[in-house]
Amino acid sequence: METPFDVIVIGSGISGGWAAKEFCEKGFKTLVIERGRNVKHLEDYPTAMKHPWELDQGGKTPDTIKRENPVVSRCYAFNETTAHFFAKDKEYPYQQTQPFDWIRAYQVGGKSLLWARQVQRWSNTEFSSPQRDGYGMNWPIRYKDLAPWYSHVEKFTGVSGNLDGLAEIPDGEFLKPWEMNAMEKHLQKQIQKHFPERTPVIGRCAHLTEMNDTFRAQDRNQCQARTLCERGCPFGGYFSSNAATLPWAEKTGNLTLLTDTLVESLAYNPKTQKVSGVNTINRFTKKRQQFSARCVFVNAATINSNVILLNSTSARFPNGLGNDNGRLGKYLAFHNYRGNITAKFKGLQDSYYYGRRPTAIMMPSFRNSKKQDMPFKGGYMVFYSAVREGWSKQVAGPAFGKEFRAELEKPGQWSIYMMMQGETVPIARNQVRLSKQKDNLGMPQADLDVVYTENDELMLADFLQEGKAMLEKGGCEQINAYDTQQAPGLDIHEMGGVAMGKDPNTSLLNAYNQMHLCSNVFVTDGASMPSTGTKNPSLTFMAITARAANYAMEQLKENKI
Amino acid sequence: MKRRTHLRYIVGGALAITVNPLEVWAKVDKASNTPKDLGRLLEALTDQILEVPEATTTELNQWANFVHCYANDFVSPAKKAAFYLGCEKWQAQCQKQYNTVYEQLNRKKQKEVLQRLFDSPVQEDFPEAQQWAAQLRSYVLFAFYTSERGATKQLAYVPIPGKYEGDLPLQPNQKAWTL
Repeated sequence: METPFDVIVIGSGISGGWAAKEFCEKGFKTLVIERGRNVKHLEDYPTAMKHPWELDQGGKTPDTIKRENPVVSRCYAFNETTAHFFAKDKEYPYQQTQPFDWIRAYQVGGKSLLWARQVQRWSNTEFSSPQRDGYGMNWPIRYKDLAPWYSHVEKFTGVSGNLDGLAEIPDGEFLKPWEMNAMEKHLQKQIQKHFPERTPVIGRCAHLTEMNDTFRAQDRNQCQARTLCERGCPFGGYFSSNAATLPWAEKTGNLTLLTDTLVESLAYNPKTQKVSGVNTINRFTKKRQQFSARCVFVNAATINSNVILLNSTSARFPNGLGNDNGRLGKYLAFHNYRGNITAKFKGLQDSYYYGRRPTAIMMPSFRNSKKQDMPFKGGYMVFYSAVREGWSKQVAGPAFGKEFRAELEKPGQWSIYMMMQGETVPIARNQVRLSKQKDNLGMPQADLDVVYTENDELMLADFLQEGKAMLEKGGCEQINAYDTQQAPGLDIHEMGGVAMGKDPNTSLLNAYNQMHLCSNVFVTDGASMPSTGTKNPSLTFMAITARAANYAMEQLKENKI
Repeated sequence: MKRRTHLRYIVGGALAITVNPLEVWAKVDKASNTPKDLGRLLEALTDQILEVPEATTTELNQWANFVHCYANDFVSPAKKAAFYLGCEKWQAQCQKQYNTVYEQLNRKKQKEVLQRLFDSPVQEDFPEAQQWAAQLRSYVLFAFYTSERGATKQLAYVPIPGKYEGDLPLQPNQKAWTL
């Protein structure tokens, strides 16, 4: 079939943006299909420069909005200044066989506008421990396979961090690190003194802490330490598809961006044994249209990538594209964020800080690193940060009036927040199915059926105990360790369902994210992950996307696909 | 109701420009079952809680208005109902004890009565007084510290810090940073 496109990329979020950049840069005509509206960098960030007093609701979310949208309202980043970048529950219903807080962002750039921007390379332990300890599915790649691609994306994305020399959190191509404050340094010192195998380091995040020609070429500027990131950054200080990969791809002249168009399914041609087209629906006109290309990259974000493939049925694949083994949509996993700890510290009253830092302190997993020596499988990262309390603190003395206010306006004692990011074990029962309920465009809704397991409970209990112990050794008081009891999904790190693997009997994709049973289809977002690791996943999504795109380009050049 | 929309109503009413304040309050009252003199009550309470001598009438009006918006828009129906019921009970108590509503008391008396509210665990005819006082104060503080004066004059508001320095000696009279 004649087509003006070499490649179709479904989705313009963090991985779709990377696919577009890689293909366009190398001269491949690329169609990016995005279900939501366009959001142009700088032009479409309406709240980015607003002061608190310029906001109708002071930045808060009205109760009526919360009640109409209970799921998205639970997201920490959802408020008056960012609501326009989130998909609302009311407008985009889905089914929950088990409670699952599915946080979505339907516009150009997707969640890359809203993400938490923490980026760590996965360690070799994370790629190998499922096989070593017998859980989930085996990765077909190891750290060494991805290391050059981590470098590739870090150089373009811009990642601040310290060269810590730790195997559990490999170093990368770092810009200068953010600083720790006095309290965070104190805790780092005490934790290392009392728990030598635990190593807190400054967070690594996708913010420009210094400039170079690569970032100047992207028209991005140094991070201004505002931490108003989720509104869209007018400085381009953090990485998003909107600020970086998509404008870069557009400059090549090889990018076509089609917005407001939902991908319904992929059309399989049994003669060629490839996908011949992408079936779409315009969300306004509801007009259906098929687009074709030699190769398709599915980057609709984990759940929606699964939904598209499950909905891509044919005589050859009655249960979804490439799904002979019945594993499509299954083994969904996520990160366990249920462990939170707060504490206070009375000392270090003579120290303060300036500006707002977009990262925290992170501690690579110290559980099951060399072998499984805990009653649970997998590990967990720990994050902590400390700030001096502001006006919302409790104060002794007058209950109101000028003197009361004067106390509130002074920096208060140190307040510490600690949380876990736990690996969850992929299991077959945790899955996404197609519901019989359809959305307003006739697309089957996702039906999410995901639960915590006993493994998660054991890991949570371990974190709450160990986190408390670390804060006690640090001299903290009023330590409150608790289970947030949040549903799966609110971590916004859902992964799996279209897993990579060596064996077509147990996986959907090969080591290059290429579908085993349909060679011109690649899935490179979170859906392709066989396990979750303990680290934030976005950097790995970007690296595997760049790796897969460059592999696909070779295949296209050699007419293998 | 949006803060700014409501602001126009209140300021319009106060300055008698274009909006009939009675009509506006009638709408508000119907929706929230609040006392008719809610605006004046909240202004008086806000004034006492914050005690910002240099505040203009318009600023005080804006902060009080935002307290109303907070109670009306941002909290659960139960908290909203509790807040407005608290306002009614507070006025009723003032009426009973002083034969007038709170805002009609002189400033010294207003302070004294408010002090008693925060000090006393149980108020006659108003057992929820402590919770109401805490609720009221938290709304007032939010309104104030997200306002231009609160953020820029009373706290250290830096919209574009440009950098982060993690470990600095605390300066004399250092104000806390805003978000």
